[in-house]
Amino acid sequence: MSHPLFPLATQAKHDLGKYIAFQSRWLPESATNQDWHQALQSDLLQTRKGPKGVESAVEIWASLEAGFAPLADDEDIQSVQRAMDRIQGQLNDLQAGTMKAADLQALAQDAKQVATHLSALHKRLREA
Amino acid sequence: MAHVLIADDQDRYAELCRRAIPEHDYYGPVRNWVELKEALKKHGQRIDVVLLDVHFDIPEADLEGLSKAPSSKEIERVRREQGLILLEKLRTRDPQLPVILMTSRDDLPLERAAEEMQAEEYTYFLDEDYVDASALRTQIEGIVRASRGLEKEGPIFWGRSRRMQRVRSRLLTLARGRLPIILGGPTGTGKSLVARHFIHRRSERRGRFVAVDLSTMPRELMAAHLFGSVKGSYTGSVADKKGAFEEADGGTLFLDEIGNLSQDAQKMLLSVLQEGVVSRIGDVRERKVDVKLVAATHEDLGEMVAEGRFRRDLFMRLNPACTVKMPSLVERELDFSRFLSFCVEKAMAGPYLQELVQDYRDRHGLGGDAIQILASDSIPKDRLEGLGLLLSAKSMQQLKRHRWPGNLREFAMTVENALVFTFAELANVPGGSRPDVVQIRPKLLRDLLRATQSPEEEEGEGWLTQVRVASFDTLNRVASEVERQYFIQLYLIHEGDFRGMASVLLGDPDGARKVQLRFNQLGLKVRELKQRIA
Repeated sequence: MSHPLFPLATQAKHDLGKYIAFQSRWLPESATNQDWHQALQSDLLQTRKGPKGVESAVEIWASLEAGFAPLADDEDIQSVQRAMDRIQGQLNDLQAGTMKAADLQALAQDAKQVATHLSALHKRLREA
Repeated sequence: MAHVLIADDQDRYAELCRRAIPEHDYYGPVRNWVELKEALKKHGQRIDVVLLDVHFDIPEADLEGLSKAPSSKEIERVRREQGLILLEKLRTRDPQLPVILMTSRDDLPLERAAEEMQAEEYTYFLDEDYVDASALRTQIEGIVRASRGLEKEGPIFWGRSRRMQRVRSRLLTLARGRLPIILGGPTGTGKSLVARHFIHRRSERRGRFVAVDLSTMPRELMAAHLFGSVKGSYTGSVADKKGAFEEADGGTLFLDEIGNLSQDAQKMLLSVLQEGVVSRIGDVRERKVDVKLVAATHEDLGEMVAEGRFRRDLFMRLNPACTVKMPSLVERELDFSRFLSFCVEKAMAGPYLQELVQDYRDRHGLGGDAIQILASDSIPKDRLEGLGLLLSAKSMQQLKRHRWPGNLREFAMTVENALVFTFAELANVPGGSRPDVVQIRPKLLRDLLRATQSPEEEEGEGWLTQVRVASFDTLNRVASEVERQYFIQLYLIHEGDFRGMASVLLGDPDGARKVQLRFNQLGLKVRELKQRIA
């Protein structure tokens, strides 16, 4: 028997966790700043892309976070929330393509953190 | 290079694969079962691996596996498991197509796990939490290597059909044992290749492989050739001579067309098999030999025994219970397209053709080594990276429908001839607007096939086959018997796949249900025929 919010965690893992660090995770060590910009723009601004159109990571999280209200104190949810806040603060610079290497790395780290915590949450709720 | 079909409700995997692993050819993304089916129909033979997502966020109308009046909860569940439902449907269509499921094994719903296990050998998992381009690249390459490795064994074409896999595993077991092996099957099915390149190699014997073709040898010389002779033992014997058995000591002796063995030689062969010693003609000395004997025949040895043309005791010594029958090309229809690619690749390795093709490439500035077979009536819009061989749909049909009395050997020769003539003709012709696509002219193929074409074959289209029908009291029963035998043949060729049978009978694999119904009406039993496939 899994947690009642397990289906929502599954959706979050699939819709957001899977794609938020999708391309940046694949970048080789030799990637340039431009590569990082492109990968993160794709991961964070065009997180889901299909026949239904394009959705950004922030939009996807906005559609999910209310559902997680009963888990507001959960460590994974709080980590996701903090990372998403930081990501949101960087989006204008990311879109403009003017971020420095260190900031790009930090942003990629935040994207990865969202993926990791959503995956951990999913696993935990399945076994709950 | 591999051909990868992507089934995903999103574009991200397809984009990423094309960018990060550009060395492969990608098809898709296809977003539902209908599109997946269409893509397999169009490119099926070419696809090496399917990359399949599990969660498909697609409209309800496109979902597979929903009940008639699904609740919103059910719709959500089916969306989350859609990839597994597609996998299940895919497996009924192609049980051996490698599929990479884009989910970790841990995430599989338990109730599905049992079904998933059925195709375990060909189902791989891509744990999206940890995957990166190099991991996916390694996985694709590993799968392609493994599956192509199954198909190829030096010059032998194994293909992917279950029947040939069974032949291969049976031969592998028999190769390691000490008992003789009888290889049956019509001419040109690769018996000598299998003996030399598979059985001998897999037997792990250190001695030589010696082949003796008994169909071309005068009967009076057979015994001396096989068992050796001493000087003066017969007219013309000017020196002591080792026979094939002694030459193959510690190795493998392949006797092709053993049905031609003279009575004297049959008697002597029996003695060698019984005692493990050989005596040269004219010599009393016995020499111990340790030989793995492989005997091939296109005839039915059992029938020859019944007719008194072959010794029963020798037949029994040849281990007839483990006879391995190599199927004819017509019986391997499932592997047809792969065999065509195999023959093109093999023919291209020949020095003359290699020279002609290289010359053509140089003149037209075409790079790469890749050759793609295009079964189509039109030239593809986009320029190819390598070279494409265009075969019209009619030509393909003609190749498939030909009876191939010389089987795989004849087919390989026809392909090589077609390529040599095509590129030789092009040697002095200026290139057109699309030198990357070379057409094999339908007339050239027709001319090449004519030599072995039967008059019936020339008359029209369709698959030619033979049935044996006795007299019945009504014409209806005669017609039913003909139909019954035709259905049996198709069932065996398609290894029980009604969709494949429907493709032949109705030109549409979706007519499988109708075919199955008729199959039952004809009184045919799946269980009995499955035993024949096995």
